[in-house]
Amino acid sequence: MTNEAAMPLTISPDSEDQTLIVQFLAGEERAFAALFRKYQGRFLCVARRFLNDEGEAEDVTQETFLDIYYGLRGFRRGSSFHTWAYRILVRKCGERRKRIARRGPVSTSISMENLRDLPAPEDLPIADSLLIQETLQRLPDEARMTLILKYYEQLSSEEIAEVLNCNVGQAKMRAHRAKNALKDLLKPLWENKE
Amino acid sequence: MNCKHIPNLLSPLLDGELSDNTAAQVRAHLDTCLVCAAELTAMQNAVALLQTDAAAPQLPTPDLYAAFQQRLVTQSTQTVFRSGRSRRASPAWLLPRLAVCVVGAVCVGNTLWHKFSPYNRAERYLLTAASSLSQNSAASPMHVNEIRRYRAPNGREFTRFFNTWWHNGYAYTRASEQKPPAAGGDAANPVDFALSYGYSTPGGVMLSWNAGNPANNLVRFDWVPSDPLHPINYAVQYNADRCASWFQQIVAHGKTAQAQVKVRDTSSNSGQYTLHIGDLKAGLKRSDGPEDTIDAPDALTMWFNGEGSLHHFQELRHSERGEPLREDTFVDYPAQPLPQIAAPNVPRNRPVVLAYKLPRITTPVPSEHLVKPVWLTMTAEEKKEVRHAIKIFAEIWRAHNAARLRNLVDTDRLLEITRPDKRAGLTSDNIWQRVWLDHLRQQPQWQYFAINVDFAFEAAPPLLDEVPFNVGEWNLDHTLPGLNVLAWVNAGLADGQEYKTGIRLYLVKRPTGWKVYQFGLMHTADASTP
Repeated sequence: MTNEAAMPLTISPDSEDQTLIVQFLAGEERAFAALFRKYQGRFLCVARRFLNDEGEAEDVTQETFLDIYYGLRGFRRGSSFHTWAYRILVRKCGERRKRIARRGPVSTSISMENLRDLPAPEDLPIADSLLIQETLQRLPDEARMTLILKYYEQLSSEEIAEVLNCNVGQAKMRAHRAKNALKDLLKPLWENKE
Repeated sequence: MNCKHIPNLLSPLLDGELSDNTAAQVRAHLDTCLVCAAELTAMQNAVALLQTDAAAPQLPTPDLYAAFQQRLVTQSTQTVFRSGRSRRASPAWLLPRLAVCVVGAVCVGNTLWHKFSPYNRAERYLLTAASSLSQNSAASPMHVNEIRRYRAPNGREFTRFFNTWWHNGYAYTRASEQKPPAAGGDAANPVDFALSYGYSTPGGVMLSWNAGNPANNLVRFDWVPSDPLHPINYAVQYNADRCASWFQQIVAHGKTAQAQVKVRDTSSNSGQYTLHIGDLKAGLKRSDGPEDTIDAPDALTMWFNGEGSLHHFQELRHSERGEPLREDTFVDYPAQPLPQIAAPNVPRNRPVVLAYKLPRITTPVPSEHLVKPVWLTMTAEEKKEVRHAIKIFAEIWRAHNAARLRNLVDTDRLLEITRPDKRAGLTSDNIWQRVWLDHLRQQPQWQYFAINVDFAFEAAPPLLDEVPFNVGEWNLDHTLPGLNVLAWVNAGLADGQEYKTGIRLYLVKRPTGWKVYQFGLMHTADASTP
């Protein structure tokens, strides 16, 4: 049994989204506010983990909703709203990441050397969170986004494929490679700890 | 299953994506291999870390909607102040749009250039000329079936091309000096034979053959193109009757087609020439009639529009005594092969030079039908251009040749005749005849005297080149884009001594004005000439 099958989707059914979209297109701004509040937490979470910067993450989330706001009039009825919205978010995150890279190296609050002094992963959940967050940042953008979508957003391989604009096989392969890369990064830290 | 395969299978194993058989093999290996088992543990820990972090309470999410609304209002305001421009009109979006605009502008400019450029007008000249020829030649309607565009050389290639052609391209073989006349030839009347070749056209080769006295002659040769898929076009030109009249004909066909041209030499009683062209072989045969009336050189010039080489050149010469042509009187030149003729390295397919393809022509075409109507059918603007070119030409002519030609030609007259507004009813005939007659009066000792000014409009096939047309004839000479001007003074005495001088200019009309190339200046004079 796969993880996707084991963990039910927490994203609300698309029918609810479709209703809100129809209402928004009919002129009800409140419907868009409902959509916004429904997805802002998830989008912000993805952006935080991808960009590792609270301010940038909030900015990207707002930009994503701006694109959604202007793009909803051209949104195809019957399409999956949340994969469409995630696709916009992924694109925005990628663009922002490139812009940040052009500005110069990203300053991180915790270096990998400091991590070695932290308690063992199993001891402190906060240390776990810092460790995984810092390690994720060392992954390539594509691998990082794949892991975020798979484990944090719990999207199925089909949904990941749709969001990342690839086929299901490629999405699975990306996930495997990302996990391998993550394991390779984490393993030395644990070995040092032991 | 070994340690090489395991790392790639660990993640699918954890996700349950392996088949039962493969999963069993992986687990069997993991049971026996501590290294791979450690890798699996590390992978499980990493995934567990991810899942734990995902399940952990997240940071509180601020309500971004108020900020979003503020941003929405700001952006809408900016859109209004941008006077309708899209909010996406940022540099990142402007660049591709700008590129599209530039490409569009280039396309439009290119279209306009081809529409109004001299090249396009040259094509119009060509069609006009062909149309007028067709209308005025009842015996032989000529149609332009196809106009093909060839690449024109740029300035540097142009200079190189003509320098090669004029100065280095000829190779003469004087048969009378190298070998006695063949059996059946006239030993008392030695033959001067010259075979010349050169680059008369970009991407093409000219072959010219001249014989001294033989009345009956036949030239055979094979022309082997370098590119067997490239169709060969011929242009053939030959003369008769003491060089007083030149006939020209254009024959174009593919590799397998055949064409035959018969032109009656109306200015002599020597019969007719028959020209056979077919399948890469060409020949000129003259027969029938009292040969003893012919004593002027005969010539054949052929142009090929492609690279190639010449093989099996044969000349059949015969005496003037009316003996029949026989195969065994051929003079073969196997020991003197012509060098490989390579055209200048001019890439093909760049348009400009026009070639026109004519259907098979089997009826005589009097020369007067070829050239006269051209001037009359020109528009006022076209005539103006011609006059302008002649004026430029005359000025250069005077500057270069004033001293040399002072006794021969009143070059001011060249200027004068370019002002037809002073001469109502001027035609292409009376221009040159008037000059000729004037100078005959001034130089009564000359037996013949001619001034040939031959100008051509830009265009046309890499087939024709200059011909020293005599008085009263115009030649619509399609060689290269631009205005091709040839002036030629050819004077002779009764004893055969002659004086020749000529200048060849090439004028290319550019958007910024005319550009003049001088690529030929030829001067030969016998001691007895003035």
